Amino acid sequence: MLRPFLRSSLGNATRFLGTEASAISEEDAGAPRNLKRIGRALETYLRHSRENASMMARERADFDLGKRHLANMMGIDPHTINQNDIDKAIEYLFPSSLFDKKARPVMRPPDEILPRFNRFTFDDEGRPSDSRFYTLRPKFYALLSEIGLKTYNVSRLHAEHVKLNRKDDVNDQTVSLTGTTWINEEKMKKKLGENITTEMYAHLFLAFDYLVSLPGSVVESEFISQFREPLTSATASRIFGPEIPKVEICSKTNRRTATASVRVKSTNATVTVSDAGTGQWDIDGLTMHNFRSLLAREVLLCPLIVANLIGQVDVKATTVGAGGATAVPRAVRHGTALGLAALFPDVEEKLRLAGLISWDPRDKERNKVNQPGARAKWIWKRR
Amino acid sequence: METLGIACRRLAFTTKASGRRISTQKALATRYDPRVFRDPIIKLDELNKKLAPEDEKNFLYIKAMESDDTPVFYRNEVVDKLVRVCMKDGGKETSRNNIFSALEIIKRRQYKLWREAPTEEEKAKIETNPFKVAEKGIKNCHPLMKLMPVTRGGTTYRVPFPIEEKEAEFRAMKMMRDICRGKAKHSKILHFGDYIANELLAAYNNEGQTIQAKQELHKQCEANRAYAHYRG
Amino acid sequence: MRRVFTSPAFPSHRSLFLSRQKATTSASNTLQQHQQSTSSIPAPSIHRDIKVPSISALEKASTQSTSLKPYVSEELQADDYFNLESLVNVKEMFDARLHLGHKIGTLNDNMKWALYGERLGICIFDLDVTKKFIVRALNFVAHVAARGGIILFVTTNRESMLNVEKTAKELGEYSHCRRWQEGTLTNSAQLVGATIRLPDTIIFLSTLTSLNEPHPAIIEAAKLTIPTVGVVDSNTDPAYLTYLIPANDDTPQSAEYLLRLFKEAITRGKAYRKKQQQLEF
Repeated sequence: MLRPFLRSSLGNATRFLGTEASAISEEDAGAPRNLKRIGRALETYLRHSRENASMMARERADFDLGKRHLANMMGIDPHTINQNDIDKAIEYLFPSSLFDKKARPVMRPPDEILPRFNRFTFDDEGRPSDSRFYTLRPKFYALLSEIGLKTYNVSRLHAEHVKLNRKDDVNDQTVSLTGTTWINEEKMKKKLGENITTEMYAHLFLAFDYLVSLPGSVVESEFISQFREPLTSATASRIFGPEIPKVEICSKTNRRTATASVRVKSTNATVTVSDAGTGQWDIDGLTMHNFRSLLAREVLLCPLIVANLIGQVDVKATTVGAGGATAVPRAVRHGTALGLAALFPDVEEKLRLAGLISWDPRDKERNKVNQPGARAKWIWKRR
Repeated sequence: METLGIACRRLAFTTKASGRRISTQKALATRYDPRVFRDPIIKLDELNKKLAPEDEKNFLYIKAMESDDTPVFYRNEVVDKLVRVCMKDGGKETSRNNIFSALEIIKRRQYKLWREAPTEEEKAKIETNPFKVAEKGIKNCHPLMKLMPVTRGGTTYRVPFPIEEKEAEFRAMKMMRDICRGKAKHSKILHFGDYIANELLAAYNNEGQTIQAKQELHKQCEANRAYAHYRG
Repeated sequence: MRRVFTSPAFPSHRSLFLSRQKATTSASNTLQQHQQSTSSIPAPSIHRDIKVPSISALEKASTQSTSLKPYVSEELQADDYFNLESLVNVKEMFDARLHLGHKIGTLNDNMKWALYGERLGICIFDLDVTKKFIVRALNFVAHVAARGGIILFVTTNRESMLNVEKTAKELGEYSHCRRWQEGTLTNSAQLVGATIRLPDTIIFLSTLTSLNEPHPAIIEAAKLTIPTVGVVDSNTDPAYLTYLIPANDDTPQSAEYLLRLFKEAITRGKAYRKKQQQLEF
């Protein structure tokens, strides 16, 4: 076991000060005490490493077998079953009402779930393979040094450009960062393969921000983009709430319509917007005339004002669990906006920027124990 | 329902004593995660302009538009705010009716003045648009500083602090509202809207109780100028 | 300054994977078997004709270490085995600004021996003294490299940091130019997660941290009896360093010059080692 770690070439008789038995030791006096101890530690490490490898192999085999059983159970083709199918199947077979998604049962390849075993890379002389090994965070510091080097190169290049009076050169611009954001700490840890603290992460992005701010940094845009992710990944789609519905053609009247289901507080509304209309309103059988409040009328008309389509569409809405003075108009407004965006795609962006296509997430806050309401407290007495 | 973008996270656990779930979530100031939400554009002319390609609004969520931000032609920010400030128990309708009746009174009075003005010059000087009158009136009531209690060594001093425009506007409206509520309580003939109209018109001309109150405040601030070094 | 013997007769208990172990690979098994038949001790591959001191000789040596000179291997008998003195010359050192120290007011009393004098308030190093010490240090480093030792370059100078890392990588050696984690050497097992081979020598291109305190690695190395080479400036304390190089450590030009020298020394040591390894097979 020690063999790979012992140097073959400089083999020599080992003499140790203080060995009483004899200054001349035999071949098999054994490795000296220290070596033995270290050898044992190494042996342990090697044993753990091999055990881990065999364990992972077993787990992977188990997972593959389990996948096939699951496919059999659920009636899916075992050859084309993917992780999505597995997740759905597990959710069906083991329904859980635990709030924390991470606490629910999960079935994933063992590489994703089981803790990684730290394998060191040394050569047969025990020399680490990474030249920054003794910093204890070689990959992190390697990245930091790389940024430093690139910063130096970029500023040197820019100085050259200035000297040769080529300031308007394409290569002398600052890198464009629109639509992207720096990757977060978790992703950075995964990318580096090392555990970094928040402070180290902050240092890293201080360095990056400086590089990015330099004129001429566009030269290194490829390198920088490796650490940037699109903003849209934070928001899966640009619309918060129900998506824009599909346009259907009403068979009777041959008009284009779009139907959206929306919710505001406890009011659920289904709104149908029809093209080629005269500005008719039918909200649970009521017309605009029945909404006496100016505010309610403003709210209902809002999407048509923004899209400039007053009197050109008909709106029909039905509500369930109708709420207060503004709840129904707000719900119908949301539905109308979605319908308009479906029927007239060029006004979609305007409606979105006006905030009419977003779902309003504000709900009544729950009441808390020992309090009369959500926030109100009992009268406080000093004694 | 979608929980994307909502800033609060729920962590539920059961206690051993009872079987009930206790939420450990903190009450947050907003249901919109500030990292992924931006304010909507509520002015029609800005909406009609195309958005710059590198603007972050292209990639982020937009908050829902408020109920009283509909871009109608008679939209006035200051008057809307006054409506909200004078609102009681969420009764926006009542408040709006009061304020708009006040604006109507202002219009009538100003129109009368305008009609009775002798020359064209003087006619031009009279502002008949009640929204403009209200705006100007509130603006005249903006205090420049506020007094905050600061305790040093057992004694509580009232120290003058500078304030932002938004806060100054609110304080002006609040002063006016409190004055008018006080007056309306004791009167059986005139109502809140009438008093608001009087105050707004008076403030427009730099007169009236609200303006007086503002000047009092300024005098107090001036008097307590010595404590300004407690501001830190 | 004490000379540290790194001959196989005196293995250090902290460098555990090095040359002082018996050959047990299959490649040299046949050789071993042959040697076994002749003596009970396997003959060394590189260090032929090694004489092993008896217990009484060792006891005497505890007071008179020079008495063990005959037992020391032949390369270590020479002062400048790798002929590194030819690399160093005073004019080049002067051009690389090695002679510039800090202000007189910051002079450390223990560095007075290295100064030529003071000019315009700035301490000037005696480059002849520096040359002597450089050659000694270079030879030591070359011998370490010849025995496959791990060499760790340490610096806190931000300007020369990237250069040091680059040089260390080119040589196949190691560098640490960042914030020193306390216990990196003394507590390595816990910090890394397993026992690792520690550096056999540490070369400090600057001994002070950014807070003008002595670098923690100096003490750690001393605790583990790892010999150190240190470039000491006029304001630094030379304590606990094995091989000193009294010279300027702040300017990038001086760091560049010293790196070049170390690079050459290590390259020579490694070439020697490779030759020896080839001779065996």
